[in-house]
Amino acid sequence: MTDFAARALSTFLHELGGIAIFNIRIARTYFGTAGNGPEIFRQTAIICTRSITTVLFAGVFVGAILVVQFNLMLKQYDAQMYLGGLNTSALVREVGPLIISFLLAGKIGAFTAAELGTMRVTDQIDAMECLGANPVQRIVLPRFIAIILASVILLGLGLVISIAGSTIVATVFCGINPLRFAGSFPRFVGVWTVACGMIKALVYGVIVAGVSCYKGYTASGGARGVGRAVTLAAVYTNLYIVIADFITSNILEFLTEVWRIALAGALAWLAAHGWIAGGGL
Amino acid sequence: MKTVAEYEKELRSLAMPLWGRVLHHLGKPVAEHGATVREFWHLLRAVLIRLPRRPWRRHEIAISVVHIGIGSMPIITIATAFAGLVVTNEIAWHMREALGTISMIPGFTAQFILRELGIAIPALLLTAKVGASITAEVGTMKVTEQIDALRLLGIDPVDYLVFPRFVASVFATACLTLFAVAVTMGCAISVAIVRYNFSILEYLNAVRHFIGLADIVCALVKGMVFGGIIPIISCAYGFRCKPGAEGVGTATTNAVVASTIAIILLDFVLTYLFSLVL
Amino acid sequence: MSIRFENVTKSFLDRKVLSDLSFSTRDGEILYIIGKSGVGKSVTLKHAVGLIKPDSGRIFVGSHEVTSLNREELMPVRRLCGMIFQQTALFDSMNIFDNIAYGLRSTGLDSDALAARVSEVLSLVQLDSGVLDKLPCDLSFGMQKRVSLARTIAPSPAYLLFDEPTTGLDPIITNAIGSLITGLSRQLGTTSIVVSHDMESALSTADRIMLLDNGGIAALGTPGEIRQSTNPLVMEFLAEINDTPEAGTSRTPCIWRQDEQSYREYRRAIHHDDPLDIEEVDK
Repeated sequence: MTDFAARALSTFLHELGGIAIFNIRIARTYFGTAGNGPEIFRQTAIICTRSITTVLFAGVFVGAILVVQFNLMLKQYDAQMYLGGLNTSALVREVGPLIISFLLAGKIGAFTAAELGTMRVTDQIDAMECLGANPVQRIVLPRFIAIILASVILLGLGLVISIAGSTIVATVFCGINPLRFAGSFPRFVGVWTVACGMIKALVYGVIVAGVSCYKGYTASGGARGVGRAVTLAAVYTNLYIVIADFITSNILEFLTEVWRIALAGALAWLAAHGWIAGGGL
Repeated sequence: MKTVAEYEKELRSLAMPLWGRVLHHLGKPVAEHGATVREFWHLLRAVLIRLPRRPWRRHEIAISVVHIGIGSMPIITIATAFAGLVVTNEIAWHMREALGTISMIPGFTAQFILRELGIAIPALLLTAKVGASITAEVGTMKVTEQIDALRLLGIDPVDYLVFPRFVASVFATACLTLFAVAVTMGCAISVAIVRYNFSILEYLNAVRHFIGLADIVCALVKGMVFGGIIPIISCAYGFRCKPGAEGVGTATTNAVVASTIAIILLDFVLTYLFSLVL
Repeated sequence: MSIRFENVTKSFLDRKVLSDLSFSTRDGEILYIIGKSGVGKSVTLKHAVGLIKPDSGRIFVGSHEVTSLNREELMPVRRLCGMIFQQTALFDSMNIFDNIAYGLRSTGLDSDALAARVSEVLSLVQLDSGVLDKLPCDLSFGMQKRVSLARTIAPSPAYLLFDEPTTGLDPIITNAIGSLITGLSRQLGTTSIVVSHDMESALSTADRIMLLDNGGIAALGTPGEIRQSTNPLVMEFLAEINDTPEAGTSRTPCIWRQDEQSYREYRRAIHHDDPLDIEEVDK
């Protein structure tokens, strides 16, 4: 058992190191060259159009699941008037980014791993090097940046649609007045909540991009190797996303306190100088 | 039926306007996955018909159970542990906002974990870990013509490949679901004790109040449904794998995405059905 | 101007692939490297362009020492060497024109000169310009081989490195590609290294033949010398040719491989329109 755990840990650290080194290489390529703009734009457009149907579909149902669940729980406390706000806040801050990025890990991450892996095992990457081009710069870098951009865009859209989905489900299945549902939003959801969700989206995007590009680029061994690369890309992306979720949650919680204190301080300062009416928050 | 390559070639030659392309992108998945959906129903029916018959293929099933269950243990432990750490914090934050008190944490957390979090997260991880590897394996067999070879030897690929994986996955996922719920609960409780000063007895007492046998049964049913759906979808994509390394890659990707979507969809349906019962 | 290996040693994990390999090419010659599967023929080729680094030893391409160069410094050396891969390695998302023009883009040619050069190399490999806007997957494997050859010779390399150019092709196309290799090498004056296990075409087209075994050179000489050799491995390879009544056909066990088009249709049929025999289970 200890042997098993030690092996799991060493594999994990080995993977993490490989990904880090590879990403540093991508970053160095980025700062070394320019002129990837059109290709990045093209890749972003491709990824977005490929994935948007799935993301929207999944988004609706993620919102729906959460609202049914929350409705059931809040009923016990007679706190259904908070359902809309609580649901939206949990969706935007936590559940939405997590579940939708699981989907993106499969849709974008595994796809990229498959694409790069195919190029690797059919020698296309070697051929590119032999023709005097740097494959990291030509094919990996545009995908890397495009995945990050597309993840943020898609997660943003997914969150919006999931809120819509949860509102509809709350109305149709739980019999809650949509106006009442939306009425509790302001208490829980603010600019900062959305910012938290988008920061998480960005972090998850970087994870999807980093892991899948690394796994695809280092694939080997024919069709079996590509299948393996795709599997590992999906698995490791999901794992890292859950871990990153914990870390970003804690950092964001800390930043939330900072934000509150800063906001309160700024308002107090403005009030003290007579710029706004006193009374604060 | 047209192949996707032919279909794409035809579309390229049409010089489409923008709206046409949008329609194309919306419609393509339907055309692309139509055959696989048919395959999925075939496989599901075949496996269910096969279920009550002998031989049970105990040996293959045992191997698959070890592969799926034990093989996924580390990743599920790590992932659900972190999820458990997060969930208490999030619920505490929301409770404080909504009710002004955090005394409700135990019941709320336990219900949320047992009904949703402890089941959905392992299932989504298994789509990647188990589903993708089944598709990659079956797809590689298809591409290297091993499946044709099996048929020539008189072995039915459904009986040999799909059925053991199906049974093993249902059993392993049920166990893993309980395991994941336990790990998540453990982590959630430790955060509540360390950070929010609950005593363990107080916490468990509160939990007992909110959790019944019905919750555990529902969790198991959900886990088994997810566990059953993953290998069938994965095998369907594996059997429909197109030639070459590219084919295996595409099939694996599609299998992961399709299983994820199917799990989210089924989760909603089951959650709603259970919400009527509970 | 030659490719020179000096005491090159390479192992993968604990398997030694090349041990103390030294050889050098002569200007304008066609050197065949022959050996059984897995003796490190392709590995030798990849060493020459720096895709694999040796454990010890030095490799020179012209006056450049490949082994001491880093990634950026390797770029000009790689433009000197054209490598043709076994599975063609065409970029499958680009059309044939972009594939062939890929190596030319960084040389700063304007678009007219680019198009002129592409059609020039296309005629060298005996393809007509109708294929230019097709995708690699629309072409037969033999045509893909020609395109890959065109892509490689487009930047006018001084050395051509072929990795198993005729593996998996039927005898007729094998002959066509074989004569194309010789013709082009002579015509362009390049030095060529061909990795192959096809002793027959080596004897008919090579200037020199090198036999690899156990990571070292088992025999090296002109086709005439090789024919006279008493080395047991060489005898084995020669016996293989003489034993085969109709040379070549033994390598194509399936009848459909002879006709690529129908083979492709067969593959397509079994992979797309085969309603997996579920019905059998239902009975």
